[in-house]
Amino acid sequence: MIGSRMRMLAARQYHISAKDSAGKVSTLAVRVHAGSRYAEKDGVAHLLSRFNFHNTGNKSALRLVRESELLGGRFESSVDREYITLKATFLKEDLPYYVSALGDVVYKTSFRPHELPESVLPAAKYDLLQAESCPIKKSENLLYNVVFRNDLGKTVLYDGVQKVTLDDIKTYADKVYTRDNIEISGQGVNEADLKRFVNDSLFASLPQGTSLAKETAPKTYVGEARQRSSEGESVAAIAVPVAKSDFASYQVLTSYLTSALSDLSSLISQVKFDKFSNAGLFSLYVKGADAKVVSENIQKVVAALKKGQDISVAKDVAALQLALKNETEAFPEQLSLDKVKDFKLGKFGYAAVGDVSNLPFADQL
Amino acid sequence: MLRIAPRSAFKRTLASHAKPQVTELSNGLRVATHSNDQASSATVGVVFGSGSTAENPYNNGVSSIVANLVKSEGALPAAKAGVQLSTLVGRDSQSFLASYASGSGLNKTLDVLQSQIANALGTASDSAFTQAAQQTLKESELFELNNHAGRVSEHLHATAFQNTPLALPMRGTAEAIQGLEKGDIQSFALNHFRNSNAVIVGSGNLAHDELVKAVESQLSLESGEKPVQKKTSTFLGSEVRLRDDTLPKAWISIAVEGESVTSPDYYVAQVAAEVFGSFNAAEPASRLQGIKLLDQIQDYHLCDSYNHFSLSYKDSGLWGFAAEISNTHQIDDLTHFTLKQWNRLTISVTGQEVARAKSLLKLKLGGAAMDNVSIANTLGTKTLALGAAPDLTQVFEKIDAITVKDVKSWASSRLWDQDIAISGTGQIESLLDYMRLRNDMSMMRW
Amino acid sequence: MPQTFTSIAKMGDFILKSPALSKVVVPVAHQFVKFAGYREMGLRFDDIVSEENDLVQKALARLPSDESYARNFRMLRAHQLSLTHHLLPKAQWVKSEEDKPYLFPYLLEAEAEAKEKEDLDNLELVK
Repeated sequence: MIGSRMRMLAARQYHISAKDSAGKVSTLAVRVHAGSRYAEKDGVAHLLSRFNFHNTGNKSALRLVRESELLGGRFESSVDREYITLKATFLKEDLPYYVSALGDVVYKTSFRPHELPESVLPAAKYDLLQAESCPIKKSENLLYNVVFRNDLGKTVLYDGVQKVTLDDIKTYADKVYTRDNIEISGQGVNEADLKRFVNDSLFASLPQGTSLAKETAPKTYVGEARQRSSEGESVAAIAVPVAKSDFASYQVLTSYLTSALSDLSSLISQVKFDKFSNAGLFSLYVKGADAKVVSENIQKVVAALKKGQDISVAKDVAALQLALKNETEAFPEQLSLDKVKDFKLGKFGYAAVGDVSNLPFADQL
Repeated sequence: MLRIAPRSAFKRTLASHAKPQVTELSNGLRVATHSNDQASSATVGVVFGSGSTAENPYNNGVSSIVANLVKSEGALPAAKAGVQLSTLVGRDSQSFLASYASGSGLNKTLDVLQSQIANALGTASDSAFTQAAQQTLKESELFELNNHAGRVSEHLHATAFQNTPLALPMRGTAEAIQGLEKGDIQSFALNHFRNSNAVIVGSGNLAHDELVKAVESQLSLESGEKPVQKKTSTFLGSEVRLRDDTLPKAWISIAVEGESVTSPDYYVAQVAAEVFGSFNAAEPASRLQGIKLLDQIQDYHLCDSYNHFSLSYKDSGLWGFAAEISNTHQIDDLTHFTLKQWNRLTISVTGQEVARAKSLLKLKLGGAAMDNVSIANTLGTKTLALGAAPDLTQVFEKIDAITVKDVKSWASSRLWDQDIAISGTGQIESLLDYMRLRNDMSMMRW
Repeated sequence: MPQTFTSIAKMGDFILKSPALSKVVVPVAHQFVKFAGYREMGLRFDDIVSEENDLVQKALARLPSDESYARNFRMLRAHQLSLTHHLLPKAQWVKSEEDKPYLFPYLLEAEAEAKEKEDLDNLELVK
């Protein structure tokens, strides 16, 4: 009795959120502050993410897949700069099974030595190949590296430059899979049920730990990176580090530049705004087969942004896009967009990928 | 024996589970909604029961041009109103959908929709029409150049339904698009964008009555009968090969005639496709799936990925698989083992395989109905085809009722020793000829 | 019953647990090893397990690189000895304490995996 109460108390310290729905399918997401920024060696976070859903002390990877497909569910694990996210999508009535399966993965993955070369490394290599065939992804990595250098600037995917051993991955797993460092969110899930099942699962056995999330603003830099590449099209991209207080205006700017409200939208291939616990990065990409056209377009875009733009017209669109995103997102984010007015581009990081001989330098923009 | 937590121990349903509703207005226009009061946004739109099958070889691509016209002309007014437009073109349907943040906004969203349909009917400038046609042409060129899997699928339709409406590519052909003028596009829209051929759909956070009222006062389409389709699509066993050894891999697809949307065996065919499901060799979990075909494929890495499908249209359907192959010298092995596994559906598919397929199909259908835009689109196409969209609960009941015997009897009549359509591109030298493949559709003894 | 590595391990444990059985069987086993003579060629018992099947190949692939190197060395040496009709000098014979089952744990694991797959491939569903 006392034991169970103690467990209840302990479990209260979890970050659990849930939203019920009338749908037939639920998703359960476990978000861990374990992305590449927290890893001591490059690529450890990626390999750990790829190690998820392999053999655990309770269940082999094969059994997990076979049981879960009979129930009607699937798993995925993804990694970015901030988080490793474990996600299960399943038919609503099977919640207990999936809570316990995710608990197993986080607490009891066996890290068998043969799994690394047989299954984890090939999958990681595939991820890297996919990412490297995309010039926008390549320039995004360069921009992060230029703007943040360390921390958020670290590379996400494992590329073998720093050798990672099984022990590195195990140590990292012990460091990040702690109670204070994870958040659990359920969609289409009853909150009381979720809490009860979490208590009964191996999540309750995780060590307390401390949250690794960073709050102080990171140091940022202005710089330039260029990478010759014959694969894919040429890309010229700029990025601006964003302080937490400016998230709203960059959110609106992102919507503005991708909607018909701005004349620039036809020149721009992609605009991204990534938000982290202590900073964000706004990045803008111009892509094309002809590097000379790319060069002209990026110059036009930067010149227009430097002049300043009234972006308040895009508030409604931004609010809608945020609402649409939050509807399917396991961890919705709230932003008040009311006060956003205009935007003027100041200093920025710059990256060029592809036919760099025909792409401008940062000081020419 | 498998230990599964007893399902009855944990069951919880929400009281506010809303079912799809349909109302027919006095002018023949139908309004269908599937609302969800917990959503923070809503989607309304018009779904017309005419897509590429309503075209002919001389105006093929006109639906895509209309979609592009609406997208480009509507982008600015929509953005100003805080509305997001999506246009979708299918073979049997075409949708114009608009999402807005819930609360107010229904009226101005309908205004945007109405003005965009008016644009398609001819109020847009000549240059806007030309631009939309150019855009469509560019898209179809990019599709031809980059999307090999998609190209194989289009050609599979083209050969399977040759000389009938389903054969026409959804994006149109370059020859047809280049010859189209504003008048052609306008007359297509005038003929098809009519009350009798349309469903107004709504999903997300909006009330059915509210939408019905707003549509009655705000939205009007042409009246008149919907155009009668002269030809029904029929399946013909045949093959098309676009061999191109300069491409890095091979992409192939093989299919038999599947079920139409109205067929009573619609879900049986879907379950049968899900028995083999999909596979991606790069994904460790995908390699562990309980699909017997994978044992043979993985030993020799016969393909990089495959996907089994059951596509259904108004007149007919396609049931088969598409694969991407880097081991291009062993395509004959891949097709042989796959077709032999298809034989097993008739003679020895197991209860475990069918149970797995049923669960995964339910997951697929339930998971597809997550965002408002796809809910609205499905709602519209189903209402057009069946008169009303079935509720997911009913669908799940239907799937639950499917037995191994149903799958076997479906397979023995639709799959066993049936004609096939074959399509492939890339390095397909080792894709066997029609007769060799056709012979694998049955066995003399087993 | 077909013999598997798992059943061999089980039988061995059973024999060792029973004092009466071990009294009989263990000396016989020692005699067997002596007459087999593989230790005189510098081999360990796990070196002479037939490797021409998927299971053993999988276990071999999972051996740590130093173990795998040592195994290959022992085999090359034994081949050379066999070719020249020699035995190792007595001092270099493998002693019984060196004859450790370095491959056996991997064989057991691979076999357990194969068995689990077999079982899961042939489930009977009970509602």
